[in-house]
Amino acid sequence: MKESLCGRSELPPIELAGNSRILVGACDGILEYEPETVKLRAGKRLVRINGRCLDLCNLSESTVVIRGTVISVEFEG
Amino acid sequence: MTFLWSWLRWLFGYAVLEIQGAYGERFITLCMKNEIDLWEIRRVCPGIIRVKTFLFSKKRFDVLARKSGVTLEYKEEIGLPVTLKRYRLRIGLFLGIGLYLLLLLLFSRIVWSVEIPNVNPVQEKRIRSVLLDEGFGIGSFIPWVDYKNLRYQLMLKEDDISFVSVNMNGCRAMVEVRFSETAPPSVDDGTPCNIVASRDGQIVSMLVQTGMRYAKKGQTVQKGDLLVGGIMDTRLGYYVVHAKAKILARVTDVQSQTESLTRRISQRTGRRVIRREWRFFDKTVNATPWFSCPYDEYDVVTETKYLSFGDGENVPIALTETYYYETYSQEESITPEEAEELARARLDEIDRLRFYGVEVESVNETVSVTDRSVTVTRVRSVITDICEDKTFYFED
Repeated sequence: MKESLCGRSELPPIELAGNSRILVGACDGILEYEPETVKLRAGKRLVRINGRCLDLCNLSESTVVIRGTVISVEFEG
Repeated sequence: MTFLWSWLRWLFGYAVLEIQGAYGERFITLCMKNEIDLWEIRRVCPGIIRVKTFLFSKKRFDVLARKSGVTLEYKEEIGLPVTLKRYRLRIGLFLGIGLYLLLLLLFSRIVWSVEIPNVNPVQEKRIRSVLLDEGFGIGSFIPWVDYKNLRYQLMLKEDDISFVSVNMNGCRAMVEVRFSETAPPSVDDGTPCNIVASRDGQIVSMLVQTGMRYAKKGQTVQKGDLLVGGIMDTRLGYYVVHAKAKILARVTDVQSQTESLTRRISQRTGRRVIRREWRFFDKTVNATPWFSCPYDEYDVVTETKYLSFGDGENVPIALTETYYYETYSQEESITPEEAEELARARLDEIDRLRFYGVEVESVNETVSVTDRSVTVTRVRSVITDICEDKTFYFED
């Protein structure tokens, strides 16, 4: 139970607007960018967003906004 | 919000940049770490990512590109700094923009129209005249207008004004004026006076309020005859009064009108010359200073065309065109019947004003024709008031 809570607190804030727009906060860097997949580092975690026609429509210091058709979001690490 | 961002991006200028190489993601991450704004990041083909970024971030890209091992290619630069740079040698363009802004600033500080609502044309003319005397009108410079003084001067110069306010609504001046109600003229009842006949006639009714009666109904009187006396004779002695009465009499009114059997008519030859004047606010500029009218006889027609907006709002810039049409005069003879009709029409026009509210008993009309003219004479019998006050000096 304790591990599970700690695990949740390390997840980056993610906002999903339908399946066409996704905002990932606390982002430390972009590891991979292809139209079908975007891989981001958020703290100790890696976030993989799979979809179609993915564009990074806005980047700021720690926030990434991705537009396109989002199919899945995966967490690694 | 999107519009604001687009506008800001255009204002600061932005570039379309292609990141070429295997480590495009590393370059983007470095940009994030260095707080460089990137937007519309799109992979156009394997190994090439296209991004948009502000022009002022351009200097920092070389170091970041070297660190991440990519090459950068600037595809396009857009925005105000780019436009200004492109047209930097076109001095005339910048002068034109500067002049436009200057005129915009100047014209927004000038009175374009003066409106005076809820007054009749005569009152409006009087008020405009006072305002012009004080230097306020179309073309006045708004910051120099002394509203307080304008109000004072209007109140001082026009006795019947009870309230004035001058407000500017943009470039339009609104002058609101309230007129005071004037008291009816006072009737002088204290001065001793007689009533005499103002014209010859036969008295048909007589109503005496004050005074001694010296005439009676049915009597024929001549102009100047005493009708009601202001000296009262009583058993206690004499005293004087201001005689008051209403005396209606039957009087004869004769009016005649003569029309000549020939008349001069003026006709246009078809030739004309035009004089033009430009009017800017209250200043007039003669556009044809060499103008002089070459004709001896001419008609003058003036047309003023104001520049106007789509909704009919006039700009105080106008072109005044004065047309001088050459004319020639010729004698034309008319028939006695036409002359008679003409004389009758003129008499009708005069009578409409003379006999307004007067009871007309009968009208006799005679027409006399000579070789040169026709005369129409109207003899009327009318009932009218013949009272005329005649003051006198009385000493005890």
